[in-house]
Amino acid sequence: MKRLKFYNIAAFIGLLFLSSCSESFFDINHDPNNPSEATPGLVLPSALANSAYVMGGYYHALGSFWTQQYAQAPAASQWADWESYNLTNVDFDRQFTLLYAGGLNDYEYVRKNTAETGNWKFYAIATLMQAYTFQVLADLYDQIPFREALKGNVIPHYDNGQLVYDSLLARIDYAMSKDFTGSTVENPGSSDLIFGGNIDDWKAFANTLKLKMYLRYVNVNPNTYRTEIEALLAENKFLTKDAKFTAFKEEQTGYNPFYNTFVDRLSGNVVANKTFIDLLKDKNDPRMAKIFNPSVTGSLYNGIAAGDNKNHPTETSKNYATPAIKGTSPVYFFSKEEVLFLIAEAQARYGTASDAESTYKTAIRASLTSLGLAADAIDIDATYPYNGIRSIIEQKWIAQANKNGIEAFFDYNRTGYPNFFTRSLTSVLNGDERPKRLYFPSREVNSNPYTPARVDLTEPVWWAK
Amino acid sequence: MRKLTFLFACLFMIGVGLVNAQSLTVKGKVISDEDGQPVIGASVLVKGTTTGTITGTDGSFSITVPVGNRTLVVSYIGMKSVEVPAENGMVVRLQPQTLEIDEVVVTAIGIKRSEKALGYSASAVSSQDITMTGNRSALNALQGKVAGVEITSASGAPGSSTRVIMRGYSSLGGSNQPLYVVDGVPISNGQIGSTSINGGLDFGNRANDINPEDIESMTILKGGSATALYGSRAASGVILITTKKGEGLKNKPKVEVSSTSTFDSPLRLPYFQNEFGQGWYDRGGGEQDLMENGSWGPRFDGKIRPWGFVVDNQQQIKPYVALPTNIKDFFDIGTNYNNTVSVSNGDADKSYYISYGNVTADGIMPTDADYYNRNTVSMRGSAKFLKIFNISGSLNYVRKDMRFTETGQDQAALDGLWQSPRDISIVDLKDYNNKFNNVDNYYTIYAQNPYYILNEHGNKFQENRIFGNISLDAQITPSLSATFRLGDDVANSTLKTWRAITNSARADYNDEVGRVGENAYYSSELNTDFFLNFNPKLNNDFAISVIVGHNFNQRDAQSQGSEVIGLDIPKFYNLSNSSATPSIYGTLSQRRLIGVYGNLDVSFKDMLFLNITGRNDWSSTLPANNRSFFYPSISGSFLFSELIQNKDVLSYGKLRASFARTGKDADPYLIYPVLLQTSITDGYRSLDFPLAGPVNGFTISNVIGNDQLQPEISQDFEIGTNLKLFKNLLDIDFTWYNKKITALIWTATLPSSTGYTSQTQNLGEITNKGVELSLSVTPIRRKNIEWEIFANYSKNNNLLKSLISGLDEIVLGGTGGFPFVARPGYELGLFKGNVPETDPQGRIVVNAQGLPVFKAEQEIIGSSQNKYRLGGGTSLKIKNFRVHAAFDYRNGGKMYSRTAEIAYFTGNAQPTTYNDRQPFIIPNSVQLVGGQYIENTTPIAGFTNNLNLYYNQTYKAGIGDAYALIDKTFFKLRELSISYSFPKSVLKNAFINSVDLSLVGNNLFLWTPDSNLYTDPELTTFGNDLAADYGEFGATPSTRSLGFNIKLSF
Repeated sequence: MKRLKFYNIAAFIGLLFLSSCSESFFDINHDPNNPSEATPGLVLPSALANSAYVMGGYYHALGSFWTQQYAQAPAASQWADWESYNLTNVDFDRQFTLLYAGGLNDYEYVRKNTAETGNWKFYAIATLMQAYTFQVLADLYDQIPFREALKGNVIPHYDNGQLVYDSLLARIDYAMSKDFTGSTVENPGSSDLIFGGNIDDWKAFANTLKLKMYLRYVNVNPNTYRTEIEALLAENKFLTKDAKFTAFKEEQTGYNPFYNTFVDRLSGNVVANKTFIDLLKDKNDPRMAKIFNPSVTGSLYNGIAAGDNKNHPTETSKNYATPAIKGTSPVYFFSKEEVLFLIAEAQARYGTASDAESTYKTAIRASLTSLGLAADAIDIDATYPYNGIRSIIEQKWIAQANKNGIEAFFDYNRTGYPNFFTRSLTSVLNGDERPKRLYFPSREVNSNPYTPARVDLTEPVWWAK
Repeated sequence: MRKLTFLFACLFMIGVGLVNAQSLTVKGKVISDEDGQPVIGASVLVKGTTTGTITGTDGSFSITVPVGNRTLVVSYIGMKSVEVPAENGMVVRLQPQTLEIDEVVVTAIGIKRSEKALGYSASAVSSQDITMTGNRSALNALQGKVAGVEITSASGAPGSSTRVIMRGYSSLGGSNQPLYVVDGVPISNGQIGSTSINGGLDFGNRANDINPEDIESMTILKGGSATALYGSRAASGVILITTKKGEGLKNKPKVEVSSTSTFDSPLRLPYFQNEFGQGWYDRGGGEQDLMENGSWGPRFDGKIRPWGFVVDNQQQIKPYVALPTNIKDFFDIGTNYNNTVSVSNGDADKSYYISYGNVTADGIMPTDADYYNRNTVSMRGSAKFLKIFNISGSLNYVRKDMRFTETGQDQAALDGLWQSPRDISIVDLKDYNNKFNNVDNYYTIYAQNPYYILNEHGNKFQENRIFGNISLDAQITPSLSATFRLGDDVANSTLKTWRAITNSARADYNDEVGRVGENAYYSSELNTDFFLNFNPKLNNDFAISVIVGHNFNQRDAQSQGSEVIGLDIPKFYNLSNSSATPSIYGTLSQRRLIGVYGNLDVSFKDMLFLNITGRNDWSSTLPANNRSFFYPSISGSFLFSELIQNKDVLSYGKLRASFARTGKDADPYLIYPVLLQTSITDGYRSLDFPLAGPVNGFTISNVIGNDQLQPEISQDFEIGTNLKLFKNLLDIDFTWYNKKITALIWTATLPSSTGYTSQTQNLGEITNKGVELSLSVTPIRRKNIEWEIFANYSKNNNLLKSLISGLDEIVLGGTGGFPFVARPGYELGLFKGNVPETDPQGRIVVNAQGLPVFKAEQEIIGSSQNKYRLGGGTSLKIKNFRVHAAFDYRNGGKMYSRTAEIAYFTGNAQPTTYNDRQPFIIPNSVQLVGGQYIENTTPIAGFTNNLNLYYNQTYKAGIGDAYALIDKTFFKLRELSISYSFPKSVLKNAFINSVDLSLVGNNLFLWTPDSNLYTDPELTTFGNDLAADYGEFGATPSTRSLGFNIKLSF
């Protein structure tokens, strides 16, 4: 009787035990809260928003500070370290991570999935925008993880900027060589937040991006891509409209990133830089009132010089003009006028001066009309007469205001224009030295053993002067 | 079988009848050995029979004993039973029970075992130890009382969390909290809150929900052998809680009432300087600046000066003097009312216990923005039926209502308070609608009026929780029993948060568009155990006991929430009150665990004991291939004092040793890759999908899945001894342990260039080696006076032994610029911060302005771990008075203090008055000129430019991030109570059985080293686990509480 009982109990436990081993009983470890896969149409918008967020937020702000369009207001100090060039590797660490673990990886996901299925329009868009994003990073850091990047468990080595450029150009050509009419090709439609899926616009974008990248080589060897530049100029199929990201809305989790953080959240910090606004005033440039809001106290278009904020103890941002970026202002990857200035520069360097001058004037007029001004609101010959590369870059700098600060910074590094920036009063650098790059970000320094040793901020990147 | 028993019973009765025939009458007396007084009502029984009597008022008895059986068993509650040969005129001396050596301890899965049989350390704590000072938290009441257990309460906010760490940290990513087991069933120790530095919340951990008055005893199991049967849940120790029952009351209903009222004040506020007043460094020459929240202004001169803004052409004036108590005056007296009433009864077959408890506390912050209300109802009962079955069950209901004042730096009342200039009277700002104090004209544009924050922003937390269990036992045969236990713990909580629309005419910093959030949380923990317990009787020398069992555990959690930012109607807090798209989330989580276990106990002559266990777990959270893991344990004890005849010196001596392996699974959903709905943030604001369009978007999760994940394995070796000397006047317990945890699970940082930021991996090994020593001395033990002193010492050496190759550091938490890290070769929890550059001789290198230059790379500048801890106390009983005190001392370790950092920043910190704030040369500093280090002669300029920079986050008082680290050493008088029990003689004819009145105090006194000018080192705002050791980011000050307690028993 006792034995029987034991047997029964053993059997019961055995039963429980068996139930333990049933796979479906334990197969509950797939995250019910998040999908394990998504279509390119759902991932591409995320990647585009990510690029727009960083380019139009911190990078735009940094470029605008370092090209003396914006300045730190008195009675606040949020961006004072940018103006004093007193950076650490923690600065912009988050943006590096946002891009690599966000947009770049999402573009890669789209590229991989669409290459397998021959879904070439998505592939082209993801390749172009990933290239654009990589190019900006390469310009900021000179060396970036590229060939081994975005591979999950592989800790990537760094590649030098020129290799990154050459590889990106090859990738662009490959992506644009695909057949966009096949049955496997989906139309991205509304998930393409830049051009609504229009592949011709993306072809123009590709030509424009290539031209921008080719022109980076001018200090290294102007002949490297001479043939390609000449061919592009001859073909003349560049962007004739803005490549901009507009999917913002009037609420705190949907604003333009610059407006959200720099205007709304950390209000009282960013005001007009004296260098820039004084020039606009001096030239009686009507764009001034479009680029800046007047001061709250007195409705004046006052700017403050870089590093001068500590010397105005009784003032606040309300005494100064502030950037007129609104909650739903677009983020520009290329503005129409930026493209025209690029073409003008290419014509000046590789074509004829007369073509360059003509394009230069078209570009300035485009800048005026983009701000809602009449195309002839400025007498260009009287106010901003054509003067070769210098005038092109200076005018590009003005036209890029509130639109693409970081590109203005790259232009300055590459050409030295505008050449009338003042020395920041709080600069920690020697003499008139200025930063030409960022430190390798702290997260990389701490977790990627291949991160190169720290390079001084003043060291030019590979294409810079 | 039943037949046989019946037959035995018949024979027995016949026997009784037979021996009755030949008997004689014996008279005697029973007295107490302690004081010689007669023992009234003692039971005198003829051994092996039902024949018996009880002693009269003079202790005498008369009993008829059979000739062949002359052994009497004399017993009395609270005294040790004795067996003596019956003799006429005999005097039986009874020893008090306190001398009882064979203590029974509740061990794993609720098995009661003799203490002497345990091969590991198990600390038992009685009800009295927990309820002495009317603490609402049984965990806080344990502080300093148990060796090897570090108990830390997060803050002085009412209802805040308590962190319990046993024998050091054994997990990086998982929980280091013990498993709480109530009457054999695990309960949830979940915590709802936020560790954000922009709005920290702490609504307490659930182990603190148990009403201490309901607790009969607690057993603390620290080592692997002690907890092996609980499986992977118990890798950080177990706290077993046995609740009060009605058993043993012999059908006399018992009603108990306990009422405690205590009053709180801040235990430690920062010691600020009182020499300089309102102003900021960049205003030139230390001039007063009336819109600043800092004390970089001129030296106090006592002159009448205006302050604040000019409003309607009016400005307030006040003498320019320091107000040394302006911070202290801000705080209110906190109140705590803790009341419990219980009714219980029982007899041999059934019992019940019902209690109701209420805690109502309003903390030290003005207003009821810090509030805690807890209602608990407990019901338990047991019944025997059909001879072999016993069913018991319990049901506990907890209702919590809380409000918590946000910590951190954003809209936190305290953050502004710490930055107040030394001359501003804060209590005078109370009327925040007053035109000088309102959001438009509040004196500083850099902070919000704390009274405004407390009154206008807020949160409300509610929790309804039911936990309980049903247990069915069957005594199948005298040696075989079966138990089935089912327990569940279900909590439903809601949290509403809101911020008022705030538009300041002057200060953009304080603007707030208004927001409201609603969150709901559900959690459930279902647990079943089935086990068989076989205790065959072998012979007199050997005893064995075998247990085999099965365990099932399922934990479910669900939460969802919405928030709208940007309100339309002021002061109306509903999700409908916004044109903005609400941000929403919803998450589910489920995990299952099944375990099969076995336990073998062997004892020889009640002197040698051996325990072997084995358990296999299957966990749903691990990859299928690694899902099953087995772990054994072995432990033994040797009662060597049994070999010694003379017990005068050594009355009890035990050696014990144990070895165990335990495994621990991972959190759910770490194996497979996922995508998330996209939200992109720069740390200030975010861009959330869906975007305008509307367009939705998903991004690849920054955490890459790991399908190779394995359980964490801990190997635990422990030896110890327990000695009782000089008739138990001295009790010593010593343990040495060595614990090694391998395959540590941690979310390792990946360089983001991989496309990901982290992956959960098995990546290292931790060891914890330590000693625990407990001492208890009873120098006096007489009838009317008893004095006991107890102390314990714990030292744990924690070491992160290794990490996988390629990884030389992991970030555990902290803040962005000042991380909290772990490195191989060091203990966990290191501070990594900026340090000044030094020349080869160790002198500080300064720049051309005389300010220090920091090294490019951050360095380790301190450890968060205590070197050792000391706890103890004393208890003195004189007649009906009793004085009890308990203290807690912790030595070594550092913590980050935001309060310290902000005190430097604002010039409130005492060190900022160095050299009267006149220009000075950093002592022992050098400049690098042309590759040579030459002595620095450049002073740091005074007020005008750089002095504040020197003390703020840029130059960090010249010493780097260490300026915000404080020494965690402290001594606290945890408990003090003076109580009086009304003598029985007074209550003799009343219906009341006992009345105890006490004056009680908690945390009455805090000592810290002189260098700590800022905060109670126990505070944290970084959660309830390892990361909490980082420190505090504006925590609510801890409190000193004093009050009284009444305990009545009917």
